[in-house]
Amino acid sequence: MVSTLSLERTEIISVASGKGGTGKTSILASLGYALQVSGHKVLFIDTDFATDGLSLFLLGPRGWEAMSGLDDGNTFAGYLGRHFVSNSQQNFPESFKVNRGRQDDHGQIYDVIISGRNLYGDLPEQMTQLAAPELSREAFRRAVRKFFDYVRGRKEWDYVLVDTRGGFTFNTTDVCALSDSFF
Amino acid sequence: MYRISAAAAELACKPTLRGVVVNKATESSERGQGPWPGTFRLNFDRLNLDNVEGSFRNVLVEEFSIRYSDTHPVPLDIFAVEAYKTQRIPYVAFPASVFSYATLVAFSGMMKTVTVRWPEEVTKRWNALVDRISQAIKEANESLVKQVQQDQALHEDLDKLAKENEALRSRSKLAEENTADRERYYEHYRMEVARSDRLRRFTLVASVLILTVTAGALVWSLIKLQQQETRQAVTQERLYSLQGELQKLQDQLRSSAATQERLNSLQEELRKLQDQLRSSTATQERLNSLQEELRKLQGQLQSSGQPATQERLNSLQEELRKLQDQLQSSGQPATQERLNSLQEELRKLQDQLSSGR
Repeated sequence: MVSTLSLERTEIISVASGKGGTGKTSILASLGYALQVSGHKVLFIDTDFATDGLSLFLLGPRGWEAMSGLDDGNTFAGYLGRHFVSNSQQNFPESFKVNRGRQDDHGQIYDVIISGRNLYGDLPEQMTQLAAPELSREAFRRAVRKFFDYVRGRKEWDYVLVDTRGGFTFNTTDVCALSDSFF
Repeated sequence: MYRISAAAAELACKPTLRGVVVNKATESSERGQGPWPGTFRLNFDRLNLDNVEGSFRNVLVEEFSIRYSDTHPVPLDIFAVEAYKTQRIPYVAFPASVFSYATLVAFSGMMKTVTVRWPEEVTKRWNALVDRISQAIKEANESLVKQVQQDQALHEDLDKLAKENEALRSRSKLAEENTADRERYYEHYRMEVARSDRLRRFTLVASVLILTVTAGALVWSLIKLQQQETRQAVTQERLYSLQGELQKLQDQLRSSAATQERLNSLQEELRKLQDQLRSSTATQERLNSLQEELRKLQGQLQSSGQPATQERLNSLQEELRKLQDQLQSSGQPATQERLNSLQEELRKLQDQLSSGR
């Protein structure tokens, strides 16, 4: 159930932790669910293409079926890869709807930008290289900043919840730094 | 945290720290007060999260210069792990869990500054979610309390049953002992009865035997007595008869003393005749004479009514037998006939004596 109620400003909230396995994905997903159930428009972004925790959680048990129509244009890793190649502003990732709407499931349809396409380990090596590029910190910062500005500029969501990689590498600290808030 | 601040400074950004969530919290004065080890006390909707992970949160406050209220503990909850593993939302799958309660408390605190900007409808829906979780927790707690009460009641029943069982076991043991005693007593009684029965049978048999022997002896004694009485009666009768005969003989003897003498004389003659026969000189005339004398004697006896005594007759008979032998050895048939005649006369004399007796 998506409400028509909307805030004037999109708030990007990131979650970070000093190490992996602390439960930040569970906390972030729960927060996103609570906000969405309350009537907010919420976008989930998974920037942790090391573990893909949020993507797998939201896609659910039949996630590989939901991913059949997706390509790198729907993933954060794909966006970084394209940015690495072309540095083009036209290649922002597009969110897609993950239907967990059954009442015995989440009862919600989520807007999601998943981490990468190799969630289930079924892609050939040449495709995974693109899915997980090793950008410099500066390039990463530029890409994330542009992406966040793009998301804010669309004014489509009240809250954008960003899951980050565990630990305090720049992939995490810079995402949090470029967000509006973090916890 | 410092790295994020440093990055933010480098990027000329000012992200807001909404709070620090202390997830999987385990340290709590509340823990261990529940019905089972390591669990929180009941009615955790009133759980005071301020006390959870207090020491670590104080370190955070000192380290990052944040308020204690900006730290939000979320206790370790197996239901949260289960929800994550099964890719379900805890508010849907386990609404009554500690995780659901604590995260909503944390989110309320973290989003406090922005909720004031939320439209009323959104706030209502947020509150509805909180109410739903609270209601679920309340129901779960009520169920839990009921379950605990039932468990306690069951434990009480169990204790009661255990005591009853113990009492029954004691009674059973006592009953077994009583039964064993009674069985021993019964066995003893049975043996006594058997022995008494044997003794009774033996006594009965012995009594029957004794009675039989006694009766036999009695009958035998009666028979003997009867025989003795009969014999005594016969003897008595004989005695009376002999007394009569004796009396008669005495009378005969008294009246015929002469006859007795004559008889002695004849006996003497017979003895002489016998001597004569031994010498083979006796004569037939002498035998006839003796016969005649015997006849006379017989006649006298008959006339006197006094039969000769048995002894006397026997003596005569013996003398005649000897005479007969002499005649036979001498080859005189006339003498033999004479002897036969004498024997005949003697037999008649005996018959007379017998009939007279």
